[in-house]
Amino acid sequence: MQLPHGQKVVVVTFGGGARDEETFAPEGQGNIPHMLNELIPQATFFTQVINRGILGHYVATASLATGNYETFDNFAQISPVNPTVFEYFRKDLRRPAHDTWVVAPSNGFNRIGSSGYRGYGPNLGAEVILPKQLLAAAMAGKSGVDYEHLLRDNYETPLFTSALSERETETEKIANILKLSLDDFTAHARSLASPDELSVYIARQLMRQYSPSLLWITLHDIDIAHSGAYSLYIDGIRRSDRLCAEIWQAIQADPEYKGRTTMFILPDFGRDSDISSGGNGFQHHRTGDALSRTTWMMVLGPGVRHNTFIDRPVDSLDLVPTLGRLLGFSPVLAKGTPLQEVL
Amino acid sequence: MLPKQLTARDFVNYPPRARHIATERLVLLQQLPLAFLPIFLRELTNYDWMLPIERVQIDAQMQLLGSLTGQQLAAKVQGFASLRLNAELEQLDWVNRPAVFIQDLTAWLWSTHQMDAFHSTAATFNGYLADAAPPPEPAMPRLGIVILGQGVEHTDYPLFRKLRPSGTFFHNIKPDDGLDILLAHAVSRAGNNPLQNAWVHWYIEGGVAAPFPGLTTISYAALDRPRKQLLNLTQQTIASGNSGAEALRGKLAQLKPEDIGLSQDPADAVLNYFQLSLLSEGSGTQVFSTTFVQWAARECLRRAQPETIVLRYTPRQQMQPMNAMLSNAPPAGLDPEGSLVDADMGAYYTWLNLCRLRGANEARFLVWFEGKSQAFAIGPELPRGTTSNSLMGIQDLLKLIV
Repeated sequence: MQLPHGQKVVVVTFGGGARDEETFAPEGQGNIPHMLNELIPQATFFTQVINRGILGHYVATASLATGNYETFDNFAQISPVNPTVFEYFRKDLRRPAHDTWVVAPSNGFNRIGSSGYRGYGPNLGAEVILPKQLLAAAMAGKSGVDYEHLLRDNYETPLFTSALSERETETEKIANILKLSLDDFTAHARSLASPDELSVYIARQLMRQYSPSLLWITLHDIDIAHSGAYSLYIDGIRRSDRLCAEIWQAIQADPEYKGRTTMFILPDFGRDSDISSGGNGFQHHRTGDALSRTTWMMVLGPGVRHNTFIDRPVDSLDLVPTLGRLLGFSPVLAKGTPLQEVL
Repeated sequence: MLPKQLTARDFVNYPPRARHIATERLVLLQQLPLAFLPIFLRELTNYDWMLPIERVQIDAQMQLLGSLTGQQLAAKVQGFASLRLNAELEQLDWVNRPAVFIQDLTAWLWSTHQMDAFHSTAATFNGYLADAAPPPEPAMPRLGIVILGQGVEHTDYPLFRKLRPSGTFFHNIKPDDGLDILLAHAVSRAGNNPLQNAWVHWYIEGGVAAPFPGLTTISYAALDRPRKQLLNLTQQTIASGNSGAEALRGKLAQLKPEDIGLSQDPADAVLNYFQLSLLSEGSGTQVFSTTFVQWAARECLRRAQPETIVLRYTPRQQMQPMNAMLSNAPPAGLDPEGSLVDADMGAYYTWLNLCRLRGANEARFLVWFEGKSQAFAIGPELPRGTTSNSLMGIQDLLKLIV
């Protein structure tokens, strides 16, 4: 089925917000040369995206994906309550399962592809791929020394890292789907520096094999900030900056995507300000202060105005209605308002 | 159970001093709202191991709240009382396990979009307590000293960037004997009466610390075994498959110093509970020495409100997979450059935290790139946002700020 206007959408979120002062404020711009010099000149940039929900990465990403502020336990492996953008997309447009994918960082995200909402659910959801799980399975029974740097899990509660499950059958299924031999995959993984690089590698494989019309990638390296090491947080921002540019370059280099793909880049929320006494600055996002709730969004693609800045505050929940308008589906249960500036 | 149903028997499991206060102030506690009381009780359960200044503050706050009429008290805590709670919270054993209650309360407030209201209420209430029962003034102007950069020969990193608007940057410092001079100065501030000055002058070291008379000393190296024991305990809990992140946090909140190999000597109890809290409540303090020093400084300033605090950062271990670091994997090496960046931000946070204390207008602050010619200083007499070319030793620099 031909989609309206032949549109495709790639959404890139950062699980692990980045603050303005380490990114777009003058003192932070050195950390994001790619976004600043390569992407912004082609983008419409929303300077204030407010997240009024729970500031935990899984629940916040689920909220972004449903257009509703989800209220479940951030650390529980459960599906969103409200229908996801993936279900609206597939149901309304009658798209096959392989036309929408989520590439997500950790075990907690494996239920994000669909909701438990009546009339929707897993049969209409996105395929979810957790690259680290794939790698863990590929490594099963082998020495993991060369790959362990790619297996960092949730940083949000640094003392707690859930065990990566190694569901080999499912992993082999995904590997087959991606036309990847596990040996090739593990050989390539050795050359990568971080979990997010692994995620982008997998996303590119997906683009090559299936050219999904709706691809959602959640990056997570920045969240190392929870360990309190500022230098590692900055490293995470720089890596995310580079990877966003690489994703955009991959879109431009792929005839299936070039000229018909809109890319949205946004952190799920911010991090605590330095001056909030209840927090510890960049390390966490616990205070609920304005800085931890405010982030930005960048939109690039055909018809999107270049080098344009939108300073009015918008809501995190506006993403799903905007995607609905762009792709031609009706997210009937989503809150928020379509962002006319990019439609 | 609701607060108004409290009886003295409910506090039978509390440590002696905390139990005494709770029973003595029972009528007051019965009038506090459920959204606030367990938070206060969590503090109170630690009363027996609190730092002296914390006890003074708790006593003063109890005195203050106890002096209010029922109507006045209700008005002061109205914001907490108006928060909507649920029946499950009421059924929790919030007297004996206040940490678990607070965890569930936090989740509830987030999920019902009441967190902003809670923060705002808490800020107003804390402001009232700070004004009406203020902490004591320091006996001398507070001094913070941060020593950083060990192991780095040269850096292009723009050191002290965030601090610079607040003071003077020196780039012509003679580094000779700098560490000894700074520590000797801290010792001299502690004076000749270490007993009277206990908990007032602190030295927090990222590596190995020698003991100094009059300085309460904490070092990352000295806590090596307790850190490892804590990580082992954590790994065992996770491996059991019965605990999620929240259950683990609840378990950590119940730990005693001896559970991670700290001494049971009553004379060490206050310091050991403080150290336990750094490891069990801090995030990343178990794996990175730089995080440990920064967090220990934050907690020291918040809780002990010291007159002197000296921090020395040392290189932390290189980044490894979090799973490996939490499993006590041997360090892959050190990361001096990254540690310098961590410490530079840590120094800025230490200054911010120093500024939150009483007497902040008179506070002095010095950061030195260890063994090198760069330093930064803040003091009432020093110009702000400037650079000094003067050639001087560390002793001369100290004279400029004290």
